[in-house]
Amino acid sequence: MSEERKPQADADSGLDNLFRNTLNSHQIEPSRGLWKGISRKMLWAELAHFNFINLPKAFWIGAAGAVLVGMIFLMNQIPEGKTTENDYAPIVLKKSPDGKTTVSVQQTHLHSGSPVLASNNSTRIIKTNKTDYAAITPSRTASLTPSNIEKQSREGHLLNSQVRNTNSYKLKYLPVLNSTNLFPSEAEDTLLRFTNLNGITNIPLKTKVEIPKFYTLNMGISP
Amino acid sequence: MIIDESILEGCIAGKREAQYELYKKFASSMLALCFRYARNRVEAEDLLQEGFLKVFQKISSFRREGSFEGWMKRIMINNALNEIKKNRRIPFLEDIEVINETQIVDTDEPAGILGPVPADVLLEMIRLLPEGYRIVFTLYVMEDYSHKEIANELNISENTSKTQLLKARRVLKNKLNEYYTIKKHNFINE
Repeated sequence: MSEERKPQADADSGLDNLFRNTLNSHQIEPSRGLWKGISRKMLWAELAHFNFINLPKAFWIGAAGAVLVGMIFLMNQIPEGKTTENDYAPIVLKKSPDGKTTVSVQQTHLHSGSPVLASNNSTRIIKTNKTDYAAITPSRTASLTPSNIEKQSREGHLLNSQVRNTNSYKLKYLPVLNSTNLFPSEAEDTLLRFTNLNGITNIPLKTKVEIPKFYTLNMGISP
Repeated sequence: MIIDESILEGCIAGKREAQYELYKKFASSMLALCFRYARNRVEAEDLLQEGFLKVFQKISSFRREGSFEGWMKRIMINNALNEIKKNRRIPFLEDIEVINETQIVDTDEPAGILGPVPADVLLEMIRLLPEGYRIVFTLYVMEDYSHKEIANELNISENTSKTQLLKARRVLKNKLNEYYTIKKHNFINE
């Protein structure tokens, strides 16, 4: 270690050499668990620096398993088509002064006591407290993108498609739709008739319905 | 001891297998080194563990100008000295010197020329030295430090270092003489 040579008495050099020569090549076998301790401490130090290269395989397998279990759990939380009345989000129909009808989907809580005026497999027309009428579809499975809303509106399957399309993002709050092609027809029995909603067919038509030509779509989010 | 380049590169990359190879190669010799600064095996292994952690953390700073073993030894020694200083374990105080003064029997007979002595016996002799004697003797004799360097390292004066070395040598000479006497006695009896 030292750059400068050390003066050494002859009497001491024999002693020093004995120790130096004997112990310099001396080896002592460490305990078996020592490497494990070093390895463990290294791992913690690496994790603290977001270095994951030495994580054991068992960890990755465990993490993958946990993710899988989590996904299965989440999948089970999503209802499979079975809906109760409380799972429905109402689509409220309002007639504007210029004769157009606004179909807005609201997140109104519906009580099980709401009277059902008409229904088919996926859509029901009920009477609500705040508005006169509402067509309700299962909100949890409703999933729309602007493109397929427009497409399906054009085809007149909007309400049905809200139920069936689940391959795009999920809309917790459905958009408000202003459409000239959705005209309710008020009858004496207060039931409604939608001209191009094929899903609802069991409501009697009492007045002539105008066939729409244009659609407008307002994607404003209504909570 | 020459280290394989692939092991070195693996350690720099932080690969555990390479680190284990390095450990296997140097652990025994480094533990023997740590033993000279520790009071017992447990303490020596603690020093070795901490030393290896520092080696792995600083290995990228090894500039390959000298031997890897020398670089590693220096880290181990510095680590051991830091631990000792941290725990304020070195009693270079007068009372220790007074206590041990009575045990020192000065002898003119030169030690170490009557034959080889097993390493573990010598190591045990060093281990039984008072802490201050042991550290100074080890640094001076085994690690080739000068008194000036020892003084800087341990925050003591050069004279204290010289005194500690002198006393360490006296104690060791005495112990060696005892060892040779017992050995001679046993040889005659056999």
